Amino acid sequence: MRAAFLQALLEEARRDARIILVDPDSIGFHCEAHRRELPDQYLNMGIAEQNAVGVSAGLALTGQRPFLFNILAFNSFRCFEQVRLDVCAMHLSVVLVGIGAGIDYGMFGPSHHTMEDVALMRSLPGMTVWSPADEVVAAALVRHCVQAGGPAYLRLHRADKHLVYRIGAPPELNEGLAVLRPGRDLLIAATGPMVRRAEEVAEALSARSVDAGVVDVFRLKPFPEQRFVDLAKSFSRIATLEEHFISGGLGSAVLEAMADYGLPGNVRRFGLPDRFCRVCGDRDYLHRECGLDAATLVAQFGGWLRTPRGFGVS
Amino acid sequence: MTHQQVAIPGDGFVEGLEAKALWVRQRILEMACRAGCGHIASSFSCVEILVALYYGGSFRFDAAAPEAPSRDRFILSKAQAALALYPVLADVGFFSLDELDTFCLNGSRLGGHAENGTPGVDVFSGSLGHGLPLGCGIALGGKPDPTRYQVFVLLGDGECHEGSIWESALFAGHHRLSGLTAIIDSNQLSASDRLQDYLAVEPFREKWLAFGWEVLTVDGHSIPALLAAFRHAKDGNRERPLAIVARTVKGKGVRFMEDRPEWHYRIPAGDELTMARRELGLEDAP
Repeated sequence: MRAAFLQALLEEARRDARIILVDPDSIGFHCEAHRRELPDQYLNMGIAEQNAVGVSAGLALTGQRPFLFNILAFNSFRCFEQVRLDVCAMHLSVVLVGIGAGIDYGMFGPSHHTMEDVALMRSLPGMTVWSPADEVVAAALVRHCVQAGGPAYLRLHRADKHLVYRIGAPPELNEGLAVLRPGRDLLIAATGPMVRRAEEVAEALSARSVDAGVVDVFRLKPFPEQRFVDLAKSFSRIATLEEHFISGGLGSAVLEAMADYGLPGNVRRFGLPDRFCRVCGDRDYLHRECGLDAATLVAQFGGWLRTPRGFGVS
Repeated sequence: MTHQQVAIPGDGFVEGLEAKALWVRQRILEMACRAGCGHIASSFSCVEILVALYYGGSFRFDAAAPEAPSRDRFILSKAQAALALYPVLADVGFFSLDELDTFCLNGSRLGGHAENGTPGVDVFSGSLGHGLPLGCGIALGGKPDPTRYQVFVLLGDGECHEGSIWESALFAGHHRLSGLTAIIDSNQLSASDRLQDYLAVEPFREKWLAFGWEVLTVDGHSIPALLAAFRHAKDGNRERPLAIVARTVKGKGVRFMEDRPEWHYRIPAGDELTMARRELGLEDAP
């Protein structure tokens, strides 16, 4: 996803001299082509995140279009006040982007885990929060963000060996979500690295005669409330699935929208438990630790679906 | 350029600016007392700096075209001194003098910290340590432009405790951002105490030099010294960012406030207010 995004950025930057790739010493080796071909549109900031955001905001004030690419944990928590005041309070066109969503860096510990960034970024006025499932969406977001302007946060990851969308055929980004699989018994709303997992779970459930729908919510703010509620109306059970703490992310956004639209619903949120993940491991290993692996989710959903409609808990 | 008439040096020019500085101090006291809030001593500290910048003729701006791309930029990073900036911005034509009376009142756009959206204010401010990184970005964005501008950033010396100041100092030095001038309002006091007694940030000269900056040290209450420093800042042949260390006195202009930490955030009342008004010529001595 990183390579596809940086390639799309390079192509856009060739056409648009306003684009500057700002790198807090994070992706130098991954953007060799950009550095070589467009040295005036690349800036290595050194390991100084507060300054990187402030300089990006200053560049945006002069009409440039900085893309600040860093490991997400250091593009959100480390410099949150700069994002809040320098970028969002002035509503500047700065794109914060990086890999590391959720437990992308599972082996590197909680310093590199990014489990509460959506809650933070969703809280900022004027911020647009994107959570692409695969590189097709990630690459399409480059031009979309340039054209839309304003602050944006892009939550990339490396869990996209299998594409969700066909290359060159991204979903309509302005919709904020895309239905990947219609269903009847259960709607699984997933985002980012959990979209593939949702498809896998839906497939496994169909073998048990459960018809589960899957919707990819790739824009978490503004949350596509109306579209989501229109979709959710036809389901008696909705599960949210995200690689983020259980509070403040997709599950919260779904509950807020349903409450605001007066939609009764039986919603269960699946995400990372409310604790720092002190176990080392890759994504699949940590998913098993956190109950986000396919087998556990299938069992959970199965138990839930056997309970009566209403406030059933497995 | 508006108010060019005050920008022509000659007989009485310096005296005129000193009179303007007194006028700004009078407004600071009146605005703060009307609102019942504001950082008077921090504002008194940088009055001559702002007056020499905005009326001195080197700083290029046009209140009638506040967005002109070639304008010089000023960033009040020690944003608590907004009380000192507003009278200057009103007087040079960014908004009406009457609006000064709304300082910190309900619905006013003249809040306790200067924010973009107020005419003449380019960036959002209020949290310390943000102005210099923003200034770096603006200076860098203007670098290829032949009509490029100078970005002046006013820092507090206590503000230089912030790590982000030194992140950007390193960056500006490395990139030789000659379009950037930092003015350090070095009054030796922060909100609670004397810097030297609890977390020394001096020596400034050696620090900025080591970060690759050119450094001038001036008397921050001397109009002629500041005018000369700002002329140098605008010298197109400079090759490095410029730090102007302005030696100042916090609370300058009202003797019982001068160099006294307790006046960082206090509003005078009663006899104190009378004394302050007399010192600033707002009231006659009995």
